[in-house]
Formats: sequence, C-alpha cells, structure tokens
Amino acid sequence: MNPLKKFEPLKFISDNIVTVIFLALTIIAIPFSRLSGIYILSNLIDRFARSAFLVFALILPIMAGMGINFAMVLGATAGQIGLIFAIDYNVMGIQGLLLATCIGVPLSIFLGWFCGQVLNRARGREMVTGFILGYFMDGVYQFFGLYVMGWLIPIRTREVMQVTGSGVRNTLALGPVRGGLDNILNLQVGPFHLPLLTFGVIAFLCLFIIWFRKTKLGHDMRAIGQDQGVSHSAGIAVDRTRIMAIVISTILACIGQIIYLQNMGNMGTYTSQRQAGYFAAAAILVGGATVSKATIMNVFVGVFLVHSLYITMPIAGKEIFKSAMVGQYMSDFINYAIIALALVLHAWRNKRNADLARAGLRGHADKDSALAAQAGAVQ
Amino acid sequence: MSKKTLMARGLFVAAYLLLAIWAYTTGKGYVVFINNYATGESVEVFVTLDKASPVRIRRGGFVPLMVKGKGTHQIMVRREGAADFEGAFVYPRSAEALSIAVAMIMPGQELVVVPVSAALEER
Amino acid sequence: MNRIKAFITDFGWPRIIIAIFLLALFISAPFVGVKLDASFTDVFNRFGQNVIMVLALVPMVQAGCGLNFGLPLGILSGLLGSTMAMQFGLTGPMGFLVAILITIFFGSIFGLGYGKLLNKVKGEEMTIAMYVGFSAVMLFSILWLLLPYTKPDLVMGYAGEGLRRSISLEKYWDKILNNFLALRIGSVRNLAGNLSGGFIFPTGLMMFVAACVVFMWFFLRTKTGTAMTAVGSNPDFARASGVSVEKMRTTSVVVSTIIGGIGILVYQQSFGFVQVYDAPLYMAFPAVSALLIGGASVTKASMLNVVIGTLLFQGMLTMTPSVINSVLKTDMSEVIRIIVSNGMIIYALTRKTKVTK
Repeated sequence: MNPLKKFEPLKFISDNIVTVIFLALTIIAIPFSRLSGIYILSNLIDRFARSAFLVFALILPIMAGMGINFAMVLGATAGQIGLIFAIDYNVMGIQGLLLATCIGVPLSIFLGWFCGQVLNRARGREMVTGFILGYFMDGVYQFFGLYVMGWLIPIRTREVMQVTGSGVRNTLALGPVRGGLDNILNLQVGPFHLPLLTFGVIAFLCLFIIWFRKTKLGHDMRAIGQDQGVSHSAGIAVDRTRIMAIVISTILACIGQIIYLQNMGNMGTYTSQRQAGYFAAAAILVGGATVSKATIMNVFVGVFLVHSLYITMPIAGKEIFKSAMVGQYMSDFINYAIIALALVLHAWRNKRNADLARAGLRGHADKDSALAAQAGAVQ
Repeated sequence: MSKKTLMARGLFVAAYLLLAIWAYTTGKGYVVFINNYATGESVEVFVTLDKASPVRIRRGGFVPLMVKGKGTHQIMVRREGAADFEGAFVYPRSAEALSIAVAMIMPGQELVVVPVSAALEER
Repeated sequence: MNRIKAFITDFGWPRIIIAIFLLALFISAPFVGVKLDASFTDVFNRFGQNVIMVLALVPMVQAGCGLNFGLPLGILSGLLGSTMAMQFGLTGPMGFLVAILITIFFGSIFGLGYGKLLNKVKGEEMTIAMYVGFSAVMLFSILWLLLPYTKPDLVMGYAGEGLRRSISLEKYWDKILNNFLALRIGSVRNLAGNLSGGFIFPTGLMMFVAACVVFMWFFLRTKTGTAMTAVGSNPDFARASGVSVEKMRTTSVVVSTIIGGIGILVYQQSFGFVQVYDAPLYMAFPAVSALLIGGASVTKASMLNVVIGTLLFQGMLTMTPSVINSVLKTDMSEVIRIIVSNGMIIYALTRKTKVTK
C-alpha cells in the first residue's frame, strides 16, 4: 500500500519465517540425501503436476475469513467415490476421469453445502470444526464403502470388491484411469516428463481464481474476510457467501484429488483423502499463506518446498541417523510442526496487534505504532 | 425463478448428463483375451494394443487386456525371429469379450477375432 | 410437560439417543447370546481404563482453554514415566509408583511449556493444540528410536536399538490396580482349576479412579480451582478482581497434562501393554467425545459429566461389537465409533455458539 515502503530483509524474513525455516531445512537435507539435482527436479515436476490443484482448494475459504478449510477432505472423498464407480464400471482413460468428476461434483456440492451449514454454526472455530468434520466424514465414507457398496449398490468388478465378498477393497488399483490426464499431451524434454495438459488445467484454475476475485461474489468474500458485521450491514448475505466459499473449495478438492490419484495409479480407499488434507494445509502454509491471507504464489512456493522436503528428508534422515524409520517420522513431524508453527505465529501476531491496538485506543502507547498494527491486522 | 434461468439450468443439467453418458459409452473398457497357445515353434511374444505399453505373453500363456470402447483398435505383435505384425481389428458391437490367438496372426492376412461369451462368466 | 422439554433441551438429544441405544444393546444382549456378566466386566474395566484421561480434560475446559486436543503431550509424559521405570528394572507397586512420579515430573515440564504457548494464542487454542499434540507425538517417535533404552524386553529384537511398538507389562505391573482386591461374582472353577467367567469387579481400579475424581473435585473447590473457573467464565471480571489470567490458564494446562499422563499409566496397566510411536496420535479424540457425551460443553465440565460420559461411551464401544456383530455378522463397531464420537464433538462445537450468542 505504501509507495515509500522499502525492502527490509529482516522484516521480510520475519514476515515469511515459516517459508524461510522450511527452505533452510530443505537446503540442509539435500546434500545429506545425496540425490542428484536432475532426479529431484524431475520428481518435483511430476509431483507439482500431481498435487498443485488440491492446494488451490484452500484459497477461497481463507479469502472468506474461514481459515484453513480442513474439511476439504470431504471433497477429496467425493472424488474417490467417483473414481470407485469409474473403476467399477471399467471406464478407461480420460473418460473414466470425466465420469468420476461427473459423479464427484454433485456429491461435493451437497457435502460442501452441509459443511458450510455446520461451519456457520461454529463461527470463530471453523478450523477445528472442519477438522473434526473430516473425521466424521471418514466414518460415513467407511459405512458407504464397506457396507452400502456391495449391499445396496452392487459391485460389478472383482478387483474392486474385498476378498470377503462385500465392500470396497482397502487399496484400489486405478489401472484403467492411470495417467488418464497426464499421458494425453506429454512432452519429453531431456530427462523431464512434462504433462502439458495437466499444467494447462492448473493454469486454467489460476485464471479462474484471478477472475473470481474480481466478481461480485469474490468481492463479497473478501469483504466478509475483513469484517462480517460490516459486510452484513452493507447488505451482503454473509452466511450464503460463506457456504459458497466452502462449496467451491469442496468441488476443487474433489477434482484435485482425482488428478492426484490418476497420477499415483492406486488409492488407499479409506486413507488417501486424509493425506490430501494434511498435505494441502502444510503446503499452503509453508508457501507463506496465513490463516487470513493466501495468494496463488503461496500455492506454487508451498507445493515446491513441501515436495522438495518430502523427496529428500526420508533419505537424508536415513543417512544421518542410519535408520529409515527416523527419516519417515522426521517428515511427519516436520509436516505437523510446520502447521502448528504457522498457526501459532498467526495467532500470536493477531493477539499482539490486538493488544497494541487496544493500548493505542487507551492512549497509553505511541499512536503511530498502534495504527500500523491495525493496518497489519487488516492486511 | 424466471423462465430464462430455469431453461439455462435445464440446459446445464442436460449437458452435464450428456457428458457423463458420453464418458461412460466411449470410455468403457472391454476385455480382449490374447493367447499364445503353442503351435509348432511358438515363442514368447510382446503384444501392444492401441497406445498401451507392450505386454509379454509367455509361450502357451494368455492374458486378458482391455481396450477402450468398441470399434476399431490397433494391435502390434512383436516376436523374436519374425517381422513385427501391425494391424487393426474391429470389436463387434454384439460381443461381450473377444479372443485373439497369436498363432493365427500371419503377416499379410486378415486378423481373426473370436467373440467369447463363456469367457465372461469366468471373469 | 414443559419440565420434560426443558430437561431434554438441557440434556441434549444426542446424549439421550446414545443412552437409549446403550440400553437397547444391554436388553438385547442376552437374546443374541452375549453374556451379560462378561459384558459388565468389560464395561467396568474399560471405564476405569479410560476415565482418568477424560478427567484430565476438565481443568482446561474450566479455565476457558477449550477441549484439550493436546492431550497427547500428557500421554507422552506417561509413556516416558512407564518406560523409564521399566528401564530402571522396577517392578510391582514400586515400579508403578516411580512411573507416576516420573510422569508428574515430565508432565509439569511439558504442561508449563504447552501452557505458555497456549497463552500466546488465545482464540485458536483447539486447532493449535491438535497440531502441537500431533507434532509432539511424531517428535517422540524419533526419540523412542534414539533414546538409550537398553533393557532387552523394551528394545527391538535384533538391532537392540529403539523401543518395541508395544511393550508387555507382564513382568512389571500388569493389572496391578485391576487385580487389587478384585471381587469375583458367579465365577466357576474350570478343569484346570482356574476361576473363569462371572462378573469381576476391579476394586483397586475403581478405588484409584474414585481417588482421582475426588481429588479433582476438591482441587476445583480450592482457591486456585475457583480462580481457574472464574477465569474461564469471565476473564475480564477475574482480571479485575486480581486473578492472573495467564497464570491460572497455565496451571490448568499443567494439571491437565499431569492427569493425562497418569491416565495413560492406568490405561496401560489395565491393557497390559505400553504402546509407543504413533499410538497416542489420536488418543485425545475418544476422551474428548466421552466428556461431551457426558453433557459437558466447550466451556463447562463437571465430575458427573466425566463419569456418565465415560460410562456411556465405553459402554457403547464394548457392547456394539459383541451385540451388533452377532446380529449382522459384520464388524460395524468401528464405523459406529467414528461417527458417534466425531458427531458428538461437532455437536458440541456448533451448539455452544448458539447458547452464548
């Protein structure tokens, strides 16, 4: 906002401390892992195409002031249900993915609407509620996958059914749709595979989000993110707009999970959706987003950084501690700890700003600093 | 709700359903059993259907492979000591499963496909 | 009629449904061939096994810190307690006692740090607590591999490095509370001369539980306890009357963490194994659900909530597998557990805001 604002390295680091810490960890881990630059880069390209879409699902709810939408696992679940049907009906390639999307999107709309209703009743604790909602959905999904499938909805393909003869298998091979999107326009440049169509889809999504911010709904969302009370008196339908944010997020998560799984080639029927949630939250926070502000850039930076660490850390941990398990636990620890750190820093900054603002209003403290703090809080 | 929005929504739903039906009909996978049952000097072969990666069939073995949709499909057979065979076959609309014997594939001759009904029961 | 309506609103529909469901399970149990005496034994065992971890949540709820999803921190101090006591080669009551002392020591340290952290982040406690708990469990998973444990029955077989996934307490203090003065009713002596069947009342366990509950009851009525409750219900008023809000919140977290650690020790001696690595990851969730089923809200919890909630929740967990499985011939208990426990948490999280605003 301020045109005279100069680049201050220390302030930049303290504003992006999560990203900086993560970058430092990755830089330390790379030499220990002894992986070649080409290997890491080609893996990064593959993983970026695989998972960037998922992370975009988190942007809109952050914009609408609802924090990290941990309930995006609902969308991922819908995508998986779509895939189960595509595999069961034996629909191959891009058509299989389209069919999965056609089944998953209406489900996501319903689940997102439900989730939005719940979150509107849990104002101020959207994040923890969304998180638990994800677990709750796990139960419903297991009920569907293990008991409804094969009982009310017949399973046609033996590869989908459990050995016991009812319910969907714990791991599902996605052979028929594997690479359904990636392999359509694949460019080989030296050692790197470039799935152009997948990149195209991601680019299209970026454009959608840039466009969406400028629409009436996008403006409303940002207004609500700043202040719900003011937005309400300005005539914005606060509850409805919040539900819209969650519905769109859920749909994006559904499509994102389908793209993710067609790249992986197999899915943990009852576990993959949860990993999607953990990964996306970590990625967007590592990319420098906060609970109240997220940009497309945050997504790109976050996905690259998180995956660099996922690639190198298990091997680096194994090399340093002579134990493969340490490396695995280390990745998990960093994943959880970085989310905790980002949340703590954000809450702490908010509290400090609020305290400063309060002090400023009381007239005890330097007025300028209080105003600056307020500006920071609004930003 | 005005008549116009109602119609727009109706069109949207119809397009949506059409997309799903199109995906289902053109994307459905059908099975092709390819056997390499021994006749004389039969050896192991590599079979490629459409754009899939080559599949090895050992001497005397058979594999079920999938093709996307009924209609015309490409097949390529590669075996040691012989020229590659490249050809096409039509998956009959009436068939539920198809069987192709590698031994019957001769360069320059038409491909023999056999619709299977019993094979479906086995799967 | 109005009084019944008021009672139902106050008690909450989910709780009534669960209570009726549990009652139905008990009534139908004999008809589907499930032995009631064995079921009751199980319910009592699992009640005692879990109730102290539920109790551990109460101080933080009272002090306004919300539901303690960071309970794994307490559990980790308990794991340190039991594994260290075992490493020192202590067995029987002595071992259990030393384990408790070590747990209290580590619990205070962890609780202090955790409390200080939560003071800095008022408003977002629950999400942060959850992730702090998760990351602590993962950090300790690394430590369990690297810490210098040497006792052969603790460490992994061939390499001799790192703790086993689950460590048997058989040679240490397995069922030390459960078997203390245990009452057997209706048992029969089998061919081998051992008592079997019948209802077993775990007297020692129940006495220990009662002691803990009474301790907590008294604690909440001491000067510190009342100040804590005051901080939870009206921080501004508490501050005005000279209570240090920060200090009270930290105290509540420390007490919660210590009790959580003791809770896992009690759980272990009844379960028979010490489970390390990612076992504690999700242990906070059943405890939280039990407390909420008992009628607590995000800001208010009593001893009665703890006892009723644990009985209902554990009763349901015990009875569903045996009864439902013999009726439907499939194991649906896991699905029911996930839906009920998380549904209960969502109910509580969404209900509270409606009451206050």
